Amino acid sequence: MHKYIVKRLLWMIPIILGAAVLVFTLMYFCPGDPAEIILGAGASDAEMEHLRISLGLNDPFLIRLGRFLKDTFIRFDLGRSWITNLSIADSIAERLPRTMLLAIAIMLLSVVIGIPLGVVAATHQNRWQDNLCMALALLGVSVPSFWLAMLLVILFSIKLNLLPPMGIGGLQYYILPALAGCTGGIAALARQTRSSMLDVIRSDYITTARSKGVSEQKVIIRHALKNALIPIITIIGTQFGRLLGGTMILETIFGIPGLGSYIVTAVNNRDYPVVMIGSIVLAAMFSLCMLGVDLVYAAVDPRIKAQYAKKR
Amino acid sequence: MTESNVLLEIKDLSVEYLSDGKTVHAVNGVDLCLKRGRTLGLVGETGAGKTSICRSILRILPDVGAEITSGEILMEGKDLLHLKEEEMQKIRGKNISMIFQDPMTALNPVERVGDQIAEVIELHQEQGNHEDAVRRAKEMLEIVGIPGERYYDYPHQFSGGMKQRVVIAIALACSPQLLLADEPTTALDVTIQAQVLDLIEDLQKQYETSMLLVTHDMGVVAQVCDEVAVIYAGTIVEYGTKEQIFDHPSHPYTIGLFGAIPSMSEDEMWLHPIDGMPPDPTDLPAGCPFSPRCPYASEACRKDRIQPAVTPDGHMCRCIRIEQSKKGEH
Repeated sequence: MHKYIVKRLLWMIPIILGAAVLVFTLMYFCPGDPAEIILGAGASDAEMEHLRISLGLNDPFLIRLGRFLKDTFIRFDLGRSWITNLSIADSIAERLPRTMLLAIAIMLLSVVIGIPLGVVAATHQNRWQDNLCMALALLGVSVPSFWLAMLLVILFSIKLNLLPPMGIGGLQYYILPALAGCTGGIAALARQTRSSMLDVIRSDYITTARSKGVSEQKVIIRHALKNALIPIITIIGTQFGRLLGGTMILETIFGIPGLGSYIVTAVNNRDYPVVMIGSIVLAAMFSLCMLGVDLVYAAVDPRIKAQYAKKR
Repeated sequence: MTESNVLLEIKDLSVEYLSDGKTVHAVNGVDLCLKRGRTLGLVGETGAGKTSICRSILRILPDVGAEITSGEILMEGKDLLHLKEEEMQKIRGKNISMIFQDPMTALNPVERVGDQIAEVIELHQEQGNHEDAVRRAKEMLEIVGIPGERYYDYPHQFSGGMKQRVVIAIALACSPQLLLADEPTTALDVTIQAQVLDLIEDLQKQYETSMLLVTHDMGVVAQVCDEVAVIYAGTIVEYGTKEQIFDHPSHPYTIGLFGAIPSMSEDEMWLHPIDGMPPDPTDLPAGCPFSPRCPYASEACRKDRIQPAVTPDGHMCRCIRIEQSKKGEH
């Protein structure tokens, strides 16, 4: 099992390197002159040429790529923003925890609400409880988070004056963004839980459990849900990975300086070093998420654990 | 036959399924009687309603679309169909337990096999804690011929025959009065079949358990059963002791079943199957369900439901020819 984890961690090296090469190449072909972006439209030709030479922008593609990879992965120098001239490493270290906190809060809400909804729907298949849960799930995917965010702000901040409308500070600043952002996750988890529970509930071993005199509640939770977890975990993992880079709408509305808004701002400003490093960090986080998912699989299902141990 | 000798009595049991808006008549007015310590074989083709009867006794029919439309299932005089769900849970696994057809899917793949045995023990033990249940579960493993240290293994580490042993261990862990064995050997290969059957028989004698054995294998019936009920399209067509059924099969369907077994002594070229297919359970014939395939069928067979004819020594047959021949004797 340990060998499997080490192997998976080693596999992350080519994945991240590949992401770096891809992102760098895409940025290389992007239109726009970096010197003009940095100095602004008013700079003279001589100033711009001077900057191009000092940044090495006139060098061939391969040399620039090599220099980028060396700086990033060997010297661990992530560079500075072209626009603000702040260290990218510092900015990410400052912003990542906020995005993580928001993503974790959203995921927790999705799991705590979505999975029970799916279980209720599956155990009451085709009855009103099922229809209600699935209607809620449909509502969940359909509600735009920015709209819900504004309604929540009006209700909880302006009318009831309970929670801060925006900004960062204590945990209370994350409650409204998490509520606004969790509907999609709830819907996805409710639907997935329902369908995989329906598969499992018809299995023979569920009948075996019933024939042993196990109470219905225990049959559902201990025997059925545990077997239905694998696809549910997959959804949780991918949703979480996506949230790390995809919370920028919420970050913008609620004024949270997180990773999502950082990268989107950088794209808008053609702040290429920030875009590249940001994308690589997201790729790394996502592959860590997937490793986490695979390890949880092994914890849940002994057959998968046995496979891992065999492959090593 | 005194009343106290009867463990389980099924009266006029009917089960229906609703599927695609059609009503499937799976079990149609079945009467069965099982005495203490005896084994009743329930023989019939796939889809004849055997499994539905077993599941009705435990009340574990699929919850969507299945319904027991009439009948009583009396266990020591108590009607199981009128018990509360909580009372039924106390009976399942303790007084009545079941061995399933397919051992490959009958065990929970993500639980240790030992824990699956210990679960039923812990649910029903009057005293003792989890450790006692674990100890007893290891004993049960040894009893069915699996080393106790394999308690901590998962089902995927077991072969089919060993899984069925585990299923048997679960079923017998609380020494039930009644064991429902739903084709326990069908999914196993022949050598393992014999071992598993021997094991079930030994344990049944040891625990003085009554057994309802569902099978379509006449060989299994001959080896294990005391009484036999032949079921066709949800109706018991013939019922009697093993000797009565084997020596004097009366219903044309039973006769056809025996005819379909290849003879080892004669040099036969062809098997003798029963022509035709079982009737569509959503659209059963009004009269005898076997009449469309029966070589002796007459107009009277197709008209009304056939009443059972019982000989003085308890051999029941639901066939118009038997009634007529009896009338002829008078």
